[in-house]
Amino acid sequence: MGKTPNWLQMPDEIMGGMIFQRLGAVEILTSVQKVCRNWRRICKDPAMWKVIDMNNRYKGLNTDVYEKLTKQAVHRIRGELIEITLHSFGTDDLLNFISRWYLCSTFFYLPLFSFIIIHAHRQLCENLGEIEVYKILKFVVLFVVLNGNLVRSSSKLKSLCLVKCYSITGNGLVHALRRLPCLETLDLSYISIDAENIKVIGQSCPLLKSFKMKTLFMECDGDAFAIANSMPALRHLQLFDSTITDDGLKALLHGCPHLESLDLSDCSYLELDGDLEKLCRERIKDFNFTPLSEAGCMCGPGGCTAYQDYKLSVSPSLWDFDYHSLSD
Amino acid sequence: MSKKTLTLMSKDKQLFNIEEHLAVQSVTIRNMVKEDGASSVIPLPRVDSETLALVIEYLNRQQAPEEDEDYVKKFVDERGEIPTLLELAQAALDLDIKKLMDAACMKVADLIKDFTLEEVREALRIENDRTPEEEKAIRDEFQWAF
Repeated sequence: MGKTPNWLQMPDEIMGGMIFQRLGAVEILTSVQKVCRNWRRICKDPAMWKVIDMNNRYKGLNTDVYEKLTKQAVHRIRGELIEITLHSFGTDDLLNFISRWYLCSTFFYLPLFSFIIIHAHRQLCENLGEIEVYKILKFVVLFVVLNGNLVRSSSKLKSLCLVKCYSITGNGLVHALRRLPCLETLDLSYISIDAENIKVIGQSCPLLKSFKMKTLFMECDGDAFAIANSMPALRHLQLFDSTITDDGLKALLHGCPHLESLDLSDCSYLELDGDLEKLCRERIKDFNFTPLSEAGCMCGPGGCTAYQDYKLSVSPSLWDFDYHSLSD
Repeated sequence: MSKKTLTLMSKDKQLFNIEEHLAVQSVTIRNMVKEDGASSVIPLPRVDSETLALVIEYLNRQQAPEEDEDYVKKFVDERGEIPTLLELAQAALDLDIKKLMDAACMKVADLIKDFTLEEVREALRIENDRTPEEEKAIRDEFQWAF
């Protein structure tokens, strides 16, 4: 036809934001960006990579390939990543990569800078005299200090979602989360973490508002106590198929006073004795739990170490519930 | 109230008539009408006549609001050609008809999704404008990750 199509003038935000982003990170990295120069330029824009969703659920590609693609995507956005989802792949190494500090550029400058200063020092002393050299050194010190601050400011990641990442260990996760203090939303489904890990997560991410968990461990109320203990700012909590009992729920009500929604689906050890359900509905706007199928907990509440820790950390005057009468 | 008719002019100088109350679904046209009453012809210098005909077809066959979503979807589904859809998206962007643009973009994304690299190039009539050296540079760029 010979005419230039109008859509070539389409703004990058529309092309990138409305079309490419719908395709997903994997398509962009494996095909879209290779189509032509213009598309590659659009795909390199960090704005495209603020939200990365890597889902290996349907494609079932080699997890190794996925991991490498994720690294590419994360590399594009540097420390500006806001949201990331990993589904059915991922290792501790990848989490480490995602959470690492991204200010190496300033690091690179430092040796260069000091190199120049040291070499210029003799020359300067001869030409400028001591006082002038001091002024310059003051400037250098200021530069280094400022850089030090920059280096400390780590990832801006607000939302992390890990689903069925069986290769990720509790320790690996905790290690990464220590470097993600801005995290507000955390979704850990089918991840093997224990109560101790949860506690550290809570301490590392003080801004955490939304937490969703489906653990592979059977911890009785340990998880709930750890959450109640370490995540006081929580607004939304989902515990699927958890072994939480009434004690754990009471601890949650007490430890997370700001809860707006609580979802306890498939928690078959909950009995909601007495006024507990009423209390929950009063305190929490959106309270959801599926009725229990089978009563009874495999281990008594007194048997969990996390529970003991929890009891010790809560002063008795704040605590209205009597655990011992419940465990009998 | 009499039904006013507006005249739109495409890039290739073809004229299209459309009733004003339908045309003002486009925010761009609405603003033009507000500004100067739009008694004369409204020029649309970036929209070619085939695309403008489609846009007018869309504006004319507007359904009841609750059926609108389905209608837009069906409307873009009938146009399976990616370049046509992109032209439509570009025109909808110029004319500020958000629903049509969203639907067209979504359809393009759906179509491209399962394509291989070569198929995308073919469907969009884009030629690979990179030299072999650039191709190699791209491959090397992320070598560290592999």
